[in-house]
Amino acid sequence: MKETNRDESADRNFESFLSEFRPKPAPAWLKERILHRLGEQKHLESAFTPAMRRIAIFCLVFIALMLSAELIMTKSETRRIQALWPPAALDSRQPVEDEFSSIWAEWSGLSTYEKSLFSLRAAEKKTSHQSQGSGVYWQIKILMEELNGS
Amino acid sequence: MKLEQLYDRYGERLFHYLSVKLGSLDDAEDVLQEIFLRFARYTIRWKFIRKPEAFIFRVARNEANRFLQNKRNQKLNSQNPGALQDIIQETIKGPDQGSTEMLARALAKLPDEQREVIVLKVFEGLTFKEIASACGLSINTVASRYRYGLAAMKAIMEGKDERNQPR
Repeated sequence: MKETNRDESADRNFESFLSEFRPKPAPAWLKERILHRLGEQKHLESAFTPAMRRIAIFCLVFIALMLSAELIMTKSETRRIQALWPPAALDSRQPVEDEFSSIWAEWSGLSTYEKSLFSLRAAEKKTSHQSQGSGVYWQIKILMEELNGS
Repeated sequence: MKLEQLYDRYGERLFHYLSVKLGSLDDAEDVLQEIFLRFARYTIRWKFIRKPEAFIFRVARNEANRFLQNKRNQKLNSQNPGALQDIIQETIKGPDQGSTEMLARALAKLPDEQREVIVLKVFEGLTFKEIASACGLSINTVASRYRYGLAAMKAIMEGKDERNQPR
């Protein structure tokens, strides 16, 4: 027991002896140097290398070219569609409806056999017409072609 | 927390700990810079870190170990008691030159694990809990390493150099 107590007090004495020692302050220039080198390193890491810059410029030019080509293609496509189907046929409903009612009158006069024949041929033509447009317009166009015998 | 504030709070303590761990002031500076670069690269939400001191010393310890791992084929000052003693003497201020030299010699002769715990506890002011968290050890292991380290240091300083001490 006495031995243990002696050991503990010796440890305490040694600890108090150790407490007289302190780390020396680091050199004053260390902070400046560390922060300066950090700044440099961060700058280096954030900046593009010349090769990376060239790749980035190439990518930007490529994207710009793709976008302008897409724009030109869309514009020429619009022009082509407008040439095929003038806005009057696409936009105004009246001519389409007039055409339809006159065709409808003829359609009503057809026999059942003729109607089924028409349906068959219309189904064949549907695909090719669909590729050019959709909606009521192509249906009328097929009907007209059938009735005109083309 | 800005890097400058971080340096003001922990920079010197980290530098001292790294100097003793690596046995070289130049290496300590390099590793310290690497640690701060790590802090700068990753946004750390300091308010969510419960024990910032333990966290910072853990980062420093990992970085120092990585550094030692990369240099394992080279002759390191940390494994040379003479060079280590010089570094410790250079970074510790004592009541007089003689006792500082004696302490540096005793500290340099300790096994790495015991020296690390003693440096963190006595010179950097970390608690056993913080040391345990920083070193990834249990509190009991830290406490026993501290006790054995003190006993070994005392023996060395009294001239009874015990080689076969438990770690």
